[in-house]
Amino acid sequence: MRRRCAAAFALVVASACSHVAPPITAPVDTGILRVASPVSSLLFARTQPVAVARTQDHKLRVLSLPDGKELRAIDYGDRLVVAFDLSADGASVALGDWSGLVSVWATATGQLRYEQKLQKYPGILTFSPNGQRLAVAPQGDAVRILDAATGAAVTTLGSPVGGTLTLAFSRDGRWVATGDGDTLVRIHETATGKEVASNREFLMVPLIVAFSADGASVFAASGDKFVNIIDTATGKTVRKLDRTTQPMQALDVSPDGAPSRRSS
Amino acid sequence: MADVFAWSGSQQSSSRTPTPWNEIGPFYKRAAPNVAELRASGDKGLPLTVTGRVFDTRGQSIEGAKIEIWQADDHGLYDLDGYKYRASLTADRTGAYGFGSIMPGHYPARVCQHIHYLVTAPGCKALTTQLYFGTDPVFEGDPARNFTKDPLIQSVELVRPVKMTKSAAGARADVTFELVLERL
Repeated sequence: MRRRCAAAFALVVASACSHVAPPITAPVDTGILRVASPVSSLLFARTQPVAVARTQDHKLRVLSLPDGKELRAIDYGDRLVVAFDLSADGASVALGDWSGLVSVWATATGQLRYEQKLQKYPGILTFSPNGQRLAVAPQGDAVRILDAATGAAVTTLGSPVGGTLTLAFSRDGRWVATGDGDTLVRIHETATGKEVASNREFLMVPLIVAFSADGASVFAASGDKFVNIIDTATGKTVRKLDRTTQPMQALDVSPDGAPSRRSS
Repeated sequence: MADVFAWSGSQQSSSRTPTPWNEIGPFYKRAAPNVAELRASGDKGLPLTVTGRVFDTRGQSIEGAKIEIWQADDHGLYDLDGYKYRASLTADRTGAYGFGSIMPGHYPARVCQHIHYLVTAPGCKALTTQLYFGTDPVFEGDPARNFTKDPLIQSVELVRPVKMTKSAAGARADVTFELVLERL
């Protein structure tokens, strides 16, 4: 049973936590992509054949797939990037910097959709899977849920001590799970921001949260080196996976991931 | 330990600026032990003593404030399995706190040496911040000019002077770090 559960999601284990991903120091050449400048980070749209490479010459390069042709480049100037995300459909790309400025561009035109200046830098920018919402987590402050197309405020989540360090939307966009500085995992209703459940089994700050494919469960990992599977509705831990040797830095659920309840 | 860190400063109150915020980071661990000496015999690293007081913005000391601290060891690594270099302290009746430790090493994903703080007290806004050291080689002797080398340091006020002393027992460092909380 444990094997079946483990097969439901892919785990990437890293040995340390990092605020800024180390840059790739050579041009990307996988046989598909060739990018004009060394790549700092690369994101693929989940549902459309589009990728965006953030390159060391301070550009966001929109690439078509699978040919890797550069469609356009968006210059973001001398800003020091702290967060970066691409919507699932590849239509919007968001970037936040240490000054607290968040910008969202349309990848089809390269035009700026909107900008917002936060008091604190955004540690997290995450589009909902349907592309309708953008979650912005100013470090130490409450998470804001925005209309991804316009930047209009939809709602604000609660403000835990230490703020929110990781978050994820359910695939239908109904729920947002957060890993918070007070070590709790919280589940919120996206439309209202209302907290519907919480889990305080971790002693350390949750570093990763991810929903199961059906949204019924949340996978959460922390510096405690555990992955807990949490029931979305109640916040209760339904199972705890084997302890890992190092904290996890990334965790994703495969598109056909089996609901955890089948594994419990 | 309490005698070592006894505060002899003035009780006079005056308005103070809130301590600048700094992010909590990924290594906070709740339920740390209430111990004021974090350095064990034989630990590598420069012995360090940190003292200070907790105030509100009106300058009144906050008795009973809870000060949680955590830091990397001499090699820049955090203890994820236990509570090494982690503590939960309580400010005394004058708001004073203190602990003995070592100068933290450079954590690989960060630029500067630092100690994390989470400070809470009834009626006050919780504070997460970090203490940095003026002797950190990253600052090249001029923290006011070079503190922005670490983008997380958004106020030079968090970089504190370090008093270095040498004796037959070896070198040691002393730092004072006052904490000012906002009232709710």
